[in-house]
Amino acid sequence: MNTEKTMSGLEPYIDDELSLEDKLQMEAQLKRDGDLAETARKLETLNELLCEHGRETTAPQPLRTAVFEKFDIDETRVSEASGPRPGLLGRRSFLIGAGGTLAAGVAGFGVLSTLRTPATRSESAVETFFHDFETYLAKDRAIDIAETSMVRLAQWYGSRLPFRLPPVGSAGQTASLVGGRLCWLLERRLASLSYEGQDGSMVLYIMNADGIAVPEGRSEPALGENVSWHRSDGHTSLVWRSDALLYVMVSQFEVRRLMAEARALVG
Amino acid sequence: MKFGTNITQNTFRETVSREFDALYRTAYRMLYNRAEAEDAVQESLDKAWRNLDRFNSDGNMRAWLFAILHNSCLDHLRARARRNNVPFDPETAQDLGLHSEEVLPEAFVANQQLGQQIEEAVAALPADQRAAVQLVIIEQLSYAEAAEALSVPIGTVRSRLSRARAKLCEDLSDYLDERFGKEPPEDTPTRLRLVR
Repeated sequence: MNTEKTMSGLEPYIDDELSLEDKLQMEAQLKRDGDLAETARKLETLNELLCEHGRETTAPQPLRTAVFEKFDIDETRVSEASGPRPGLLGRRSFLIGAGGTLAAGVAGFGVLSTLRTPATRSESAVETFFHDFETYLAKDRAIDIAETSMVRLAQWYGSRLPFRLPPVGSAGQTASLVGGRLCWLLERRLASLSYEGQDGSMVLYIMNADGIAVPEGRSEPALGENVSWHRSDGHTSLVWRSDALLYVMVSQFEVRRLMAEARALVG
Repeated sequence: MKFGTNITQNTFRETVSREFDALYRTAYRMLYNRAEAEDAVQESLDKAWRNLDRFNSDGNMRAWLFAILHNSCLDHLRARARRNNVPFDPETAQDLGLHSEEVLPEAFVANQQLGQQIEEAVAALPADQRAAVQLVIIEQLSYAEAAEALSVPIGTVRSRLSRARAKLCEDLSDYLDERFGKEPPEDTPTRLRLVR
């Protein structure tokens, strides 16, 4: 790859538009060329700024209501329909899980500002992650990128996320990283890291915590604040907050084991 | 009257439900006027619904909707140019009243100053570059989807993006330098290091 070609390939690299071969060449070039790497970092930072702030505007509710009524779109299914962005990741449908199956302890888990109607506030937050996990299993553990290295996976997320992916391990106690997905849940972009063990799967969701009320829970030095767990249909979720991020880990594992896995990953 | 097959109707509904905010944001950043953005979204979805029969079932509904929306926004900009008695050219935006009181959306709570500067920098871009930035960087359409939405070749999308990035880097240099200049802590993942 000559210099001119390298420069012309830089923006498509930042925009994830290069073929695998060109991408690898670009990455090799970036290792050798400090100036080019600086330019790449600057462009990536610009993408982050634009993405982070550009997506804060949402459509006015009256407009949404009018349009959805007109075209007979079920507004209550928006959050389930808001799956991964098809442009980057391919179209993937979301299963709608059985409603009202949350454990009683979940009732306090409400979304303050991310969901639009009061009727959906009290139940959708945790449900959303159970549903997504069920979908992940039902779709034969479909992922957007197969990757066992957390460094490379963090690189892949790059500017796709509106936050910096925190340090997370590639292996828990018994389950190891197999890849990641970019999800669009609760009206925000989040990282979904998939781990597989011999006897089950687990998914760690990481997102900005702004606007999401975390249920009361205990403080756990290895994890963070408000650590709580929930059960639904044989699945367990562990929820905690650390710094400005919300972590939700969902698995078939029982809570004690899930807690141990979580500590191994982020502790 | 029925438009399109049940399958295309369902695809339309799913895509609209998923992309509704993105469609509105795109219209808003093309027009920087909330009322006009709302009109553009409604008009374009009406038009798409009426023309569902023409949608190729193998095609990309998302890109198709953005294409119709983009044309609707251009119509609004043309009308505004006529009202202002200025020639319309999507490569210029300065004379179309984009820098009005509505440049700043309501949502920038976390960092108003940065949000405002970013919004103003985007608003200062010519309409064609602004559309490319909105679709590719903010809404994350692929180059191919953006090209389809804007009815231009992929190379044109790339060149518009490139020019827009150069201008934005200049306008936002303070913030970029601030973020860029800070070395990430040692334990931070290497996403900005680009050395794998």
